[in-house]
Amino acid sequence: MSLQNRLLIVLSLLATLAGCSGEKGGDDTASSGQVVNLYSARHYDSDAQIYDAFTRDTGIRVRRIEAPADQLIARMKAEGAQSPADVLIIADAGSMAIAADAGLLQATPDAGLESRVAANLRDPQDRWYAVSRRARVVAYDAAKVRPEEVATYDQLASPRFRGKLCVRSSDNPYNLSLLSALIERWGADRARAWAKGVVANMARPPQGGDIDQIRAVGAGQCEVAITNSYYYLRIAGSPAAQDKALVGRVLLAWPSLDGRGAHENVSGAGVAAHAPNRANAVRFLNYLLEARAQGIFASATNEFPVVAGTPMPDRVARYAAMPVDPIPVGAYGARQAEAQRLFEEAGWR
Amino acid sequence: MTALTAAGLSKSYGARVPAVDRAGLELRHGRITCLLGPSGCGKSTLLRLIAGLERPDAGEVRTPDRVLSDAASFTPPEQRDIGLVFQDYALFPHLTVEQNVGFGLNRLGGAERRARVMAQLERVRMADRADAYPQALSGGEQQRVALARALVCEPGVVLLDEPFSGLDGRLKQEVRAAALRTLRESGAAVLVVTHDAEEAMMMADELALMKHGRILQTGSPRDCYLQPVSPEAARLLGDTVELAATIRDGRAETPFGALPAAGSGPGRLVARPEAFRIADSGAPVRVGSVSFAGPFVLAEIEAEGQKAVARVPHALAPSSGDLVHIRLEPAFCTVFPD
Amino acid sequence: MTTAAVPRARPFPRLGGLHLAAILAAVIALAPLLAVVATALGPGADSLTAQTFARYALTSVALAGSVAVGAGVLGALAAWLVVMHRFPGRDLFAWALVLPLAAPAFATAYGYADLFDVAGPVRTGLRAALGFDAPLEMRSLPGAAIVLSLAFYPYVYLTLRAALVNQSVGALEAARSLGRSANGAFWAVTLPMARPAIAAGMALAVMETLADYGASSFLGVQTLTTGVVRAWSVFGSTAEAARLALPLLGAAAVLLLIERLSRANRSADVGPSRWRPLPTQQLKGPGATAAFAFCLALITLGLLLPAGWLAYRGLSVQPDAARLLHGGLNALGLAVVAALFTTALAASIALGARKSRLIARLTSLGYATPGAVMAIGLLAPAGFLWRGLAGAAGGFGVSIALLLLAYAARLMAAALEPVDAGLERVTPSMIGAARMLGQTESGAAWRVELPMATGALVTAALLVFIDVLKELPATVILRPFGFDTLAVMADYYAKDERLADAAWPSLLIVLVSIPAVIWLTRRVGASRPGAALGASQ
Repeated sequence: MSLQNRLLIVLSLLATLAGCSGEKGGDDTASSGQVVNLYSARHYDSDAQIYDAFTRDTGIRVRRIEAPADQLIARMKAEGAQSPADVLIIADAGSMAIAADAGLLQATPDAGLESRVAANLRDPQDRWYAVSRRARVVAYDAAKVRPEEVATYDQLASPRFRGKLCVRSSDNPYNLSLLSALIERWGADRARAWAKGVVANMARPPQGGDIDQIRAVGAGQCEVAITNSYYYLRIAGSPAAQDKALVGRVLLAWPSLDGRGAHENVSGAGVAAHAPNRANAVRFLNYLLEARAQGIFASATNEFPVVAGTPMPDRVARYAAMPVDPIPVGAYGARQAEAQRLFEEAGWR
Repeated sequence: MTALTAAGLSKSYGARVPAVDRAGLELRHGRITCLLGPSGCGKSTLLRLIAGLERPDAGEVRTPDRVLSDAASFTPPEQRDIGLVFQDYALFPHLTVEQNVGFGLNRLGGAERRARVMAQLERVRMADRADAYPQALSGGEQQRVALARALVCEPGVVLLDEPFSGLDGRLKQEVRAAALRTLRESGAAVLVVTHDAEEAMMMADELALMKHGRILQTGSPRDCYLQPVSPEAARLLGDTVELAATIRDGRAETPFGALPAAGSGPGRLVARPEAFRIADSGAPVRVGSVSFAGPFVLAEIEAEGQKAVARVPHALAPSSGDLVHIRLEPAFCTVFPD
Repeated sequence: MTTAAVPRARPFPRLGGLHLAAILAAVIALAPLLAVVATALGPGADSLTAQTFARYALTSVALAGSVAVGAGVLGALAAWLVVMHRFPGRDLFAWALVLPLAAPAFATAYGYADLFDVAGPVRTGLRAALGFDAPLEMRSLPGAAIVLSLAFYPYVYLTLRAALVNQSVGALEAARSLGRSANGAFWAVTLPMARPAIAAGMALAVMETLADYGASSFLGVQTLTTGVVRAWSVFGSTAEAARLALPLLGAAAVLLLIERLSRANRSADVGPSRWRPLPTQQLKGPGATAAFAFCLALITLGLLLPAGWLAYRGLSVQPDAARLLHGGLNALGLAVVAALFTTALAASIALGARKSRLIARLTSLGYATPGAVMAIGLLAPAGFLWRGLAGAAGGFGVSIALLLLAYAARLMAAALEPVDAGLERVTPSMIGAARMLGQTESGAAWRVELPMATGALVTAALLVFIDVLKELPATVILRPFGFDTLAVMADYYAKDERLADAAWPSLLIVLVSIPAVIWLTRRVGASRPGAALGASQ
């Protein structure tokens, strides 16, 4: 009878799976010297290039799980001391700080790491280090906006752009870290007023991603858009005729926060508190800050390197040295919830 | 020889009156017992209790050599050596006739099983439809397959739940005759549940009358028909006329005549319609309406304010308004003191 | 035949293998939901204001309501046209109308959002032609309602079509003989009898809408699920996220009840045992054209247009074929195993928990539970395993096993519904007959009930298969190292705003699902009694 056979197949499959689990578990311990387990909340395809290079150069296999930061943090909490994670990577300094404060990361004081990463771009207790940088800046319609009109973040909230601004929704970590920085610099009241001004300027309800905002500027729906630098640079690096035309019309402005420079965020990496392969993890962390990996961050994802002197494409190099606010980026984590509340009070969906 | 005894079986669903109330039965090898009762009287439940498809709240089911269920133990149905034919036949639609009949023989090897299945199908004259699916069979054919399926395992006890109620008229009679023959050949103790009194009396070696979850009377059909233990039992087996009677001096007196009876005081005479014989002498009665009823005539008769219906041969049929004499036939009458 | 009698103390049903299997299956399906409730009762301040919560809730209600109406009208109209009429292309449409079910709602959303983006081809073209921007924003509540209606109308179409196909010709003929016209008979008899089916289909569409996150968040609509995600990811409070999920669980319970009740009614109106071909009306001229155009438009808007646009976008990039193949094989393998496993559990519940319907109903709640909520619920029980079993957290087998359990919890309803329906064909007396013929309770289940429900089991497995291919949150959070599925890849690319890259895995999901969807819709056509026999063998 075919049904019975089918059910038997299920049972045997499940038995096989159970067997696999034992086998793999044994495998892990046996080969623990050659593995580094990565929990990554970076969603960039090109990271695989870095991992492959690491394996080629060191013989250490990179095993990874990718998921949103909050889910990785929750998973690591649930796994507790049994967590297989060696390295946690998140494309947001705030979330990195939250993970560190939740006790999920361990301090890895390392002279090499400390020398390559500026003090404001790493955890004061050395639990995580920035591995790449990005700025949250402004794309503007060159035909309608003069560069000096978008020279500061304040101007984005001014009546000049009433109904002419495009931005994504408030719960995006990039917006949260921007407002966190503003709270840090300005205090809650002024930050709220700024958010209200931006909401009043919105050309449409927040929607889509950063690239959608840039394209909306190109389509004339708005004159300015808040975007992460690498999304603009990705379009700038695209060979498509449509994209070339777009960056011809839409330019990148580099607003300054109180004269200090643009708001900056980072991708951070840290060694997990219960890392079973700690040595490999530290090695991996170091590798991320070596020239090859730094170069891939710049060329493949258009991020800015953390380490000075990294070779990079012209379009990235053009902005990499632009001034940025030297605030300790880890401060965003503690402000994140407050920032979300201010956004909601301001009506920023 | 006793094949199965059920004693004191009770079963209730929820808080309402029990479906089966302290019922008992005895089934014997080679004999057909009919369990007769109106629908809803609990006869199907009693059958399911015996089969083991339901657990009794109280009572005992046993064979001579083992207890099937009592307060301490319960043998699941598959271990009871009992065959059951369901009212809806319950043939498995995904199996052919042959596979249906062979279903209970799965411990046998292929060849032996097939031989036994085909032999049983021969007995119910269904061998030529062995490869058909149940849906392709007529009602009578399905009934025969269901019977074959129950008998092929050669159970010591066979239970049939309203086995002929799904059939009509002529077909019913044919199927019934064939089924009776097969059942008797099998030598099993047979219990047939039915609500059809005529069918029960015709088939049964032993009759059990059931109402409100209780067994009212058991005995041969003849005894049950002619000597009911209560008016209720009498009504189960056919039409009755119930007359108020006065018992005195060893006789029960009614306006339609008197009969020997024990005791004294008021009582009730329960008579079958055929008990009223038109005669040259006897109690004088007035004939009310007369109606044609096939082989005989039904005449309403009245005396001293009491009414009865008499079943009269055509030759003696009175006319409406006639004054005739009635004699009571004692064999068809029973007297119950109040 | 043995003489052993089982000793027993109380007149309770013995806990046989079937019951134990059912209990185990129910525990598996309920564990994440119980964990959600437990989490909701746990500590954790509420950071969302009542006003914000109200906005999310109202948006959820508005979206679910519009999708119920949209999917209801589209699906019902399509089913009525296809079953009760003859027009050119009808036989093709009969199964093709289900095809949008093969496309994950998030993929449909990708396609529409991009196609109707302010910088997309449609609005750019219209701007050039009209001189102003046409208000065709898909990233809005109405837009999301349209997209989800187009994605979920097949649920209504399928349930109503099954009901119409199975309707009694007798009742229709009675109505005609009582002086109703063909159309009058439809309004007076067919529609009222089909109402439960429409309600059931709409309930499914609403449950899918409530559980959806990918599509509505991509379209910028902030529902209760957005609140759940915000509470969790921004405020870091799983307790608050779980509390926000409670109304969704409540809604799911109500919807399941609707669905169940309507099914109970539906089985009641199957009357006569004689089945004749349904009387259909030949459409001519404009009527035929309109019917044809409507069905074609539905398939086009539901699948061809968004999928076609995604395909066009996909052509602009060179896909990573090796990764796609790997992700595809992972997804396929996982979906097949999950389908078999979940169906086996559903069968255990259906067979073993016959007397405790409440359990069966509760296990279905996962279906309307948003993925993020499910993820919260999954992590708690998974954590016990991870922390308790050395090496479990990194193990491939354990991760896959957890994923299978997660899918079972999330998709039990999809499997349980058809299995339950299939087992309804088995009468109590058939089970009794099997018992009398020497089978134990489990033996009767194995030899009679399951074989009779074979078709239903395959249907259940295919539904789970399709759903697992699209599943995201559980897969993302529980998967083992280096294990990408098509849905995960699509989500990953979409998050990185690489729609052209996201197109490839999305379209592969559609491609893999289509055969399963076609098989499912064929079964509905074959479900008319008499026709069913061949199919169930």
